[in-house]
Amino acid sequence: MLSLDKFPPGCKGVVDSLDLSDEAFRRVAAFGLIPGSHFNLTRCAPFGGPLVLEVGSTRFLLRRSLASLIQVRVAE
Amino acid sequence: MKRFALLGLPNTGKSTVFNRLTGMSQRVGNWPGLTVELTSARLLLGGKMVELVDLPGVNDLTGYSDDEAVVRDVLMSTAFDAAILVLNAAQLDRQLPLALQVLASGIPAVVVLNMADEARLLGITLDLDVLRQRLGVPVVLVSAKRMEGWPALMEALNRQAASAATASHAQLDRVPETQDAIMQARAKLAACWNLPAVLPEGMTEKVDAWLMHSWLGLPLFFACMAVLFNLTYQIGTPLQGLVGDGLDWFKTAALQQWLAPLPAIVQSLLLEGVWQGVSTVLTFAPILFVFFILMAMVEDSGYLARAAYLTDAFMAKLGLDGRGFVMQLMGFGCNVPAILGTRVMRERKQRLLTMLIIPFSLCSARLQVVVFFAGILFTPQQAPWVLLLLYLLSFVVAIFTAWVFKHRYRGNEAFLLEVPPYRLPGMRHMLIRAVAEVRAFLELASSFILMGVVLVWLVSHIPAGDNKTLADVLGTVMAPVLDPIGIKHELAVALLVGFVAKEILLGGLAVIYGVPEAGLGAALLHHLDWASAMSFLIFTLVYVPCLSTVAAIRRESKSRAFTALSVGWSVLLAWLISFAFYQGVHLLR
Ligand SMILES: Nc1nc2c(ncn2[C@@H]2O[C@H](COP(=O)(O)OP(=O)(O)O)[C@@H](O)[C@H]2O)c(=O)[nH]1
Repeated sequence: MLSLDKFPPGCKGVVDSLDLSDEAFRRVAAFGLIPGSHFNLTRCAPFGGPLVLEVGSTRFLLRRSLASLIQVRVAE
Repeated sequence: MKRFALLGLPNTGKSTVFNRLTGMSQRVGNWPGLTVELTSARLLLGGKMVELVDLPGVNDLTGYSDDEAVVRDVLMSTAFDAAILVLNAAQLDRQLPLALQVLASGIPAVVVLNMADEARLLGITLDLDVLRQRLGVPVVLVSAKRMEGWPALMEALNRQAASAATASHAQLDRVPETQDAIMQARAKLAACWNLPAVLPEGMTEKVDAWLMHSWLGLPLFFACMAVLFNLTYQIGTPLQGLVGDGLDWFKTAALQQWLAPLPAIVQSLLLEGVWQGVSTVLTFAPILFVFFILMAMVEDSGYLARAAYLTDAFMAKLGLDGRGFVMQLMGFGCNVPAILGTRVMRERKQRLLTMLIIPFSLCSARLQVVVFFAGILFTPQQAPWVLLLLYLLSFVVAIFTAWVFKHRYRGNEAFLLEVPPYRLPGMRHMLIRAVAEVRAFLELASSFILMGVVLVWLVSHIPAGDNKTLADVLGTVMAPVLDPIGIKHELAVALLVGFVAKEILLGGLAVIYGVPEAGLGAALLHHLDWASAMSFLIFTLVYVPCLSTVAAIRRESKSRAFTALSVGWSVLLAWLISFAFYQGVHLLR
């Protein structure tokens, strides 16, 4: 298990847990990121910029500061 | 009259559906008690007049974002006969929960699954009949952009409008929480909506390999912005010239003759006051129009999200998000549309912070003034460097402002943004939007600017004894603040003119020194020394860009206090920088 900001780009993973406030959780959940959901980390912006994730056919960006609060594991 | 609400997540094609249904008849309007404007329009459905209200895109009816609160407020305070729920058919996994929340609230709904074309390309399979049964409401599959599936949509809407049921308020206490809604949505979609295990690679991935590249992305972004910027000038400036010429022609060919019988002072008020104001407002229209088209292209094509991706690392440090950078850059063309463009940022605090820094972007009207002053104060070799320094100054001032205010207008760290597939923007959609924006802005700004121009006219024409006008008195009264920054008293009124619009500043200076505009350079050199001319220039760059910008800030923030803060802060900064410059030069001498 590792936090999403440390996840290797280009790999597929599964969300384990989200250590977020109620408000932040709703925002993240609206993009399909909830415990158990599968995602694909497509890219990371340089200079500590945001990550691009793919959940289902939805692609979105989120900041690293938020990603560090999301625990994930590599999908087998 | 019946009332329908248009609801859906952001970016699902809601406004495209709205435009398709209502065309040019739409109105942007204020809703009592809301800090955002809502667009609404009337159309005939099922033999009844229906008012369709476009609500902001939301993710979750129980969420905490500004837009989510707005939607809840509207749904609670207003009775609706039906909700038209627009969902992206390719993303039902994350979009259906909202639909279930709306259905649970008890408002009759028609579910519109949009982007049928994209869902098909992705190989998504969907069993409409099963979904219809499970949801218990009409469900239609359309592509708003291509008008696919339209007859079925119209039939469903007509039937809904023709029903005899009375309008009802949403019962928000019955809406399921986020997680429950997600679980229910899963069950509804099981075996009736399927995403292929591996999505086909499309054009978007190939383009993004370049545009989102780790080190090519940023240069390409700046190249894109440069092209856009040039386009605004190349198309907007000639159009602006054309409108200006037309208005001048009207003034000399018709207006002056009509007004000739009137006393000279009234003529002057009408021509140099009122007409000047009208022309200032109208010459804004073309540049606004061009800007809105270009902005819509950036936004609708999906590039704005890529720009946000590339610049977010830097902007996050300033308490802003990446989209603010694009607006800041657009502000170098004209501040007004950049302020209006901040509407893509849905969080109020982020918008306010962005609106606070945009006025420092050195816009094209101020550029004219700078180029003129640099031309008379410096050698042709020095002038470009001075220009560059002044551009840097405007960036530094903007960054400083963001740094000062970032805690007060702290955005939410939980910033997520959809990165949509690249899409070809719809021409019709863009035109309708641009026309509506320009119209709404002119309605608001015209009174503002007219008042400003007439005020300036009054100040420079009302006699105040001793052969003096109010303008002279103003200079004397302002002496304690003008003297420390080396600005001559007679220029007080020029600063007032510049406050109205920088476009008329040079003309105003010419009037003050009683020379034709061609002789202004010599007159300035004669009356001003180098340090006070530079101080005047710096002040001009930093303080309020123009009344139109103030009007735009007022309209978008819906707050007098914020507008006053924005104006006050820029005047204060302008004074401080001019003071530092002028006193610094004197110390060194
Ligand atoms: N491929 C496709 N694109 C669409 C469709 N409807 C809207 N769009 C595009 O999707 C983007 C977002 O649409 P818009 O109406 O602005 O969405 P809103 O944010 O929900 O109001 C624009 O680029 C539209 O041109 C559709 O049916 N198919």
